[in-house]
Amino acid sequence: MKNTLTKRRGYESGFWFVLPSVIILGGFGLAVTAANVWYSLQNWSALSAPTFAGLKNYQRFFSDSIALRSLSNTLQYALMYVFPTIVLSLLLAMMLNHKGRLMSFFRSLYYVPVITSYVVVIVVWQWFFDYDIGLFNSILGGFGIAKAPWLLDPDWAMPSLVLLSIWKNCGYTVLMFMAGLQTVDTNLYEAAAIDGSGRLSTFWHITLPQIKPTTTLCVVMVTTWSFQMFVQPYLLTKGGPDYSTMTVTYYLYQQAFSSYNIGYGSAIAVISVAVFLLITTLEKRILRERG
Amino acid sequence: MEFGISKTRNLRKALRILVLALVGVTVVFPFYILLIEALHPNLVTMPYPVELWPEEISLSNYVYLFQKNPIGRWTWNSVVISVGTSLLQAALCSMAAYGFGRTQFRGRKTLLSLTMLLLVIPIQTRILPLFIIFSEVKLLNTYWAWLPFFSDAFGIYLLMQYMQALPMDFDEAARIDGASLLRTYWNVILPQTKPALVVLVTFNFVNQWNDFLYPLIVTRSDKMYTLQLGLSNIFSSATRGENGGMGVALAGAVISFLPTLLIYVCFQNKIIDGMNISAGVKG
Repeated sequence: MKNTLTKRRGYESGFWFVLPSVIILGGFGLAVTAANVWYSLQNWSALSAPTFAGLKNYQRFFSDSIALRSLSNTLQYALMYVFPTIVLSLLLAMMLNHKGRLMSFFRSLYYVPVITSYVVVIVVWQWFFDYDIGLFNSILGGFGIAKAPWLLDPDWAMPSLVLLSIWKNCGYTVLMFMAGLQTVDTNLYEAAAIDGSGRLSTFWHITLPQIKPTTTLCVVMVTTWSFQMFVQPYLLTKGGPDYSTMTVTYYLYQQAFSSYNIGYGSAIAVISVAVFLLITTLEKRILRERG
Repeated sequence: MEFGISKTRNLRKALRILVLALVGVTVVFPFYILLIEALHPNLVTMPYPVELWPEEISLSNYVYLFQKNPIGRWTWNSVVISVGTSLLQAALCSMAAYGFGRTQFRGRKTLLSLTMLLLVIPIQTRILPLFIIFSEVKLLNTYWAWLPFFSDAFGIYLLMQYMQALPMDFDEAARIDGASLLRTYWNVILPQTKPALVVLVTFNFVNQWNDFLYPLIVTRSDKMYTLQLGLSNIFSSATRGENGGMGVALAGAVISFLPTLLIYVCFQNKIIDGMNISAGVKG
């Protein structure tokens, strides 16, 4: 007891070390989040002074078909995005999980799109998607296949944006899976080899369960990216065609910063974060229980 | 028999490298187009049919870009914001990590759990009030609007995890020698966290450099635009065939991409190590 007391003495002024961060994170993080919740209860648009509105902004959200659409679009995007990402990154990570300079070269190369901004990526991909002169339709034409409407059709637009995102962010999840694969106990592989387990069965019964924390992390990561998705609709589709690429963050931006509906915009933010937290909690729970 | 096994093994390896190389081509191709077509003079819309090498090569898009747009000013803004926030954030986060992880003061646990709450709250619930606050105090459209990024919960968390590996004996020995907490932090702890700090700074630099939504909200005039915002405006007018067209937008994209590429090439091993650290920490 005495020992711990002496150990503690002389460490009290640590408060001054955390103070700057506490002020910034408390003020611009927590207080501001609380303010957002408060705003969401106000009837407040650009020119009028705020008046208390109770839950009216929330009621408005659930009767606003575009708002509901934006939420379901975001969830659909996440759903379309997550499976290909996991399969592709895991596959690439396993292929890269060998020694050699060539392997580390590929690994570094695949990460380059991750450090590239969305604006830069979009400047080129906008041409890829172009209906008349675009790369993708030129390739399809080369094989004698009819042109695809990419960003012009409500059914095609969101999957097209998913394709762009996979290209841009796969390097990130590849690296996460490579780190995950390193943590698998090699004794398990040896044991499996002795048991005469085939490649596929070793993958299914050893690799996959062992890297489950990484898989969970990837699923949560992709969900996070989906709820923050903004630049693609902002620059490429303006949320169209027919609101098919309207995402929650883009709708929040439109309501708050184009229509100056501050109260309603705040309610959209609160709902989107609440749904986000609910989904990621569910994902973590489901993935922890299974297998 | 043995020969057969090594043969299939080699075949498998060759196949694996082939697939990885094809993926590599897919990754590189957009960058290739970016660099090459930026050299295509008077490129209003992208060439059709697809060309892999322009008939004529010139720097005219770059000349137009720099003459007609305040690229220098946008680059300066991006540099000030990215360098400033990433360095200050590393400094404040490392101080906080030291204070939370290696000292004892009243209220430490409460403050720590409040800080860690921010790990799960995304930026969406902050942008609107931040916009209102900064417009109330007339700091919109100034560098001060980036004040909220001077510290970061995840940075604190990462550095705390990293500092945990250092034994408390260091601190004890320094204290017995009569060193103050500040001295202990500065001379003993800080030098040993340098690898983690480098990771944090490079990560934040790249994130701030590439950020779009926040600068879009807090800047009001084209004088305060970051490079990404300026580029997005050039791109929007290029899609309408204005402001020199797509060639100029491509040249702008090259300019705004080069600094991050340079940082990545210099620090790539650190970034990849950092990915491993942060992936391990988050999981």
